[in-house]
Amino acid sequence: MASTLSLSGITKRFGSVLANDDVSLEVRGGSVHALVGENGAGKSTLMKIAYGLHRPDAGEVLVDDVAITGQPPRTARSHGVGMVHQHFSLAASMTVTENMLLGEPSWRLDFDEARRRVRAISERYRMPVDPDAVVGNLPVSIQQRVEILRAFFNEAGILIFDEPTSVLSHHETQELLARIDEFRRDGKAVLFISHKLPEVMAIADEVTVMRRGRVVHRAAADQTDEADLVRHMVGDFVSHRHGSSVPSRRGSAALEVDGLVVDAPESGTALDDVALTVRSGEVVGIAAIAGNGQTELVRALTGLAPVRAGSVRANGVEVTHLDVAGHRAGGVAHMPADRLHEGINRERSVFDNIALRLYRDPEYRRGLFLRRGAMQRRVQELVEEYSIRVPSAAVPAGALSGGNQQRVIAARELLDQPGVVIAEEPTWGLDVQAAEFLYGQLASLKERGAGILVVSSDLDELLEIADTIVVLYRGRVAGTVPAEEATVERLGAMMTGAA
Amino acid sequence: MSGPVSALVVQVTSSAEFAQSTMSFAAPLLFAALGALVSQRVGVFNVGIEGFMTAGAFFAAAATYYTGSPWLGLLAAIVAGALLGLVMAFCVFALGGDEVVVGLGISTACSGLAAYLLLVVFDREKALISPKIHTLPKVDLPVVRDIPVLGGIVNGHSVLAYVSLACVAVVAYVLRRTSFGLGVRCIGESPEAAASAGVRVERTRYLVFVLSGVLAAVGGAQVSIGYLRLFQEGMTAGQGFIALSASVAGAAVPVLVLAAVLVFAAARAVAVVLVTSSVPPQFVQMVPYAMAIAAIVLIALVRRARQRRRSFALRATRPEDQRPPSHVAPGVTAPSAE
Repeated sequence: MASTLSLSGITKRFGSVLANDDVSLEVRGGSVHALVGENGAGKSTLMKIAYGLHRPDAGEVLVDDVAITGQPPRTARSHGVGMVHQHFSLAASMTVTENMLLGEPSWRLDFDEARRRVRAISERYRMPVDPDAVVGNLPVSIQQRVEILRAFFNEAGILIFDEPTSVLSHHETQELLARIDEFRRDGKAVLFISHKLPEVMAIADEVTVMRRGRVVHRAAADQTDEADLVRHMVGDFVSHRHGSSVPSRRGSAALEVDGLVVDAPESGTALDDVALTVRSGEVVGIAAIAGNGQTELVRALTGLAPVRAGSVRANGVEVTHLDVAGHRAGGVAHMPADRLHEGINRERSVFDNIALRLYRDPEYRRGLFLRRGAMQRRVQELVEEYSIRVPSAAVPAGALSGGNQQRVIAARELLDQPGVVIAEEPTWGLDVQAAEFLYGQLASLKERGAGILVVSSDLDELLEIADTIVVLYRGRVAGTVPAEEATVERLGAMMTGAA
Repeated sequence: MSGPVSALVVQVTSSAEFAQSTMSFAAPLLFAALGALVSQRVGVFNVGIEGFMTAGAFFAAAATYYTGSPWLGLLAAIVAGALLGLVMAFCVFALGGDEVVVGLGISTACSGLAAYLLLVVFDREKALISPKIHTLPKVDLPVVRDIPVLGGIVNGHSVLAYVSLACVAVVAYVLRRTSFGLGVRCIGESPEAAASAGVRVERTRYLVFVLSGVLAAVGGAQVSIGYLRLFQEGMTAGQGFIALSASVAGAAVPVLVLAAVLVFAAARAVAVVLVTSSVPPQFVQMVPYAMAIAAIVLIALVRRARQRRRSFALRATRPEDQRPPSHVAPGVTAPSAE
C-alpha cells in the first residue's frame, strides 16, 4: 500500500499568475499533514497537480519514490492516491456501486462482488452507505462519504481532502474529523486542505502554510497555534475589528419594510407580515437558519421576486413592485450570496462586469454610443480603489480568486454610493484580508449614511458588524434585538423557534 | 370527420401488411438511433448520424456492385462509418469544433460525396441501379413461420433486422454492466468527474464515435441493400434525423429508444398503407415527421412533470440549502442531514 506522497519543487503558472512557486511538501503514512492558506494561495492548484489534474511546469510528484508527474488521475489512482474533491467528482445519476467501479481496468464487472466490497469497506470505516442508492439523491455529506469510500475501494493509501468541511455542518465536520483520525491510525497518509484553523489544529500532525503560491511556514502542530498560523497566512496584516466600532449615527429610515407578504417559490419559504426598518447609518443583520425566508426576503427587496402584499420604501421612495432596474435606480445595491452565478459573469472581463453599472449613466454615453475610454478610466480607478488584484481589467472575472471576485462585486455595487445596501453572506468563503476589506467598505458606507442590511449564516459576523439583529423563523420575524443585547444563545433560541 | 378517419386508422393498423412494414422500417432507424444514443451518452448531440447513414447506404451499394457480395457491401459500410466517426470525433474533441456544426457539415458532405462519386465512378446521375447489386439474405425462421399471423409479421425479414434488435440488448448491457459503459455514462454527466475517477475520457469518446458511425452506417446499408437493391440520392430521406429524435425521445435509454423507433416506423408504415387511400399523398408523407415532433413534445412534458415531482422529493430529504453552507454558530442546533 502506498504510504508516502512527496511533492518537490512544484512550479505552476496560469498565464501571468504564478500559482505555485517552488513548492515542496511531504506526507507519510500514519500522519495528517494540513495545508492552510487563504483563497488564491495556491493550495488547490498544488493538490490538483499531485492528483494529475494539472501538469506542473517544473517539479516532481513522487509516490513512494516513483515519479507520477504529469500523469493523468488514473495513474495517481493506480499508485494508491485518492482525492476527495471540493466539488465532488461523482456521476449523480449513477448508483454508489457504479461510481465505485468507474475507471476499473477490466471490461466486465462483477457487481455482486463490488457491492460486497462497498459494504465491507463502509462497515470497516463506520461510514454507512447504501451501495444501490443513486448518488444524486443523497445529501451532500453522504456524497462526500461516497468519495472517501471510493478512494478506499481503489485501495488508496494516500488521501487528499480539498476543503472537505466547506460543505459540511458543524456536526458533520466533527464526524469527518473523527473518521480522519481513524484513517491515520489505520496507517493512511492524509493531506488535509482547509482555511479553518480550529479544524486544522484539531486534526493535523504537521502544518504547512502557503501564501501567494509559496510555502511561507511549516511546523509540527504542537509547535504552533492559531494566532501563529494566521500571522503567516496573512503576512504583515494586523487584525482589527470594524463594524459596530464605528459609532452608529442613525438617521431617517433608509429602508422601510412593512407587512411584507411573499408567496413561496417552487421550493422555498413564504414570507408573512415581515416588517423591519434600516435607518441611514445603521447595519441591520438578518439571522436565520437556512431555509427560513432570508433568501426570499432579499429577492423581494431587490425586485427579483414579486411581492404579494405590504410595502417597501427605499430612500423614501416606494419601490415595492418595481423590477430590478427600478430598485437599482432607487438606490438599492445588492451583493448576492451566490457570487459565481448571480454576482458576476465569469466569462466576461472584470471591465465588463463593472461596466454593467456604468453604461446607463449619461456621463458614459454619447448618443447611441458608449464612451469606452471614460468607462475604462473609471473601471481602472475602481480596480485600484478596491485593490482588485488583476494584471488587467480585461481578465475574465471567473479567473479571479473568491476574494477578488467579491471586490469586483463590491466595486460595481457600491460605486454610486447607494442609500441602501443589501449584502448576503458578504464574507462567506473569503480570506481574512478580503473579509476585513469588505467590512471596511461597509463601515465607510455606513459612516456616510447608507442603510445596510446584512444576511449572514455566521452569527459571529452579525454580532460583530450589526447594530440591530432581526431574526427570521419560518418566514416571519421572530424578534428584533439590539446588538448590544444579543448573544449567540439568545439568537439561537429565536432562530430555532424556541423563543 | 373523426369517424371516417379513425375507422381508416383502425383498418390500416390492423392489417398484417402494416405490421410487416413497421418491422421493415424499424431496422435502419433502430441502428441509427442506437448510434445517436451512444453519442448522446457521452454528451454529444450527433447530427452527423444522417451523414453516416448516407455513407453507409452508398458504400454498401457500391461495394456490392463491385464484389457481388452484399456481405462485403456491409463491411464497406462499417469501415466507412468507423472512419467518419473518427473524423467527427477528431473535429469535435481534438479541434474543439461545435458538435452541431460539425455534424451538419458531415451530413452535407456525405450526401455531396455520394452524388459526386455516383457521377465520377459510376457515371450515373441520381441513382445506382443494377442487377449486380444483391440484397442481404432474408431469414426464414423454421418454427416461427408456421405461427398464424405473428409468424407472418416476425418471419422473413432481412438478417439485419434481427441483428438490430440484438444490438439494443447489447448496447443496454454494455452501458449498464461494463466498465466502458460506466465510463461513457459518467462522461456524459461530467467529463471532469470522469477523468478524476480514472476514466480514459478521450479514448472512450473516440471509441463511442466509431461505434456511433458503425451503427448508423449499418442502418444506411440496410436502406440500400436490406430490402432494395439500389442506391439513390437522398434515399435516407432524413431518417438520421428521425433516429436522432428517437434517441432524444427515449432519453438515450435503449429500451425506450426502441419503443420510440417502433412508433416512428409505424408512422411510416401508416403512410405507406395510406398512399393507396383517398388521403392526399403530401399529407401522408408528412405523418412520420409530424409524429416525431409530437412524440418529442409529449415526452418533454412528461419529463418536466416528473422532474418537478422529483425536486420536491429532494427538497424534503435535504433540509440544508446547497449554498452557501450554514456555518452555524455554537449553541445553535441546525437540522442535521443525518
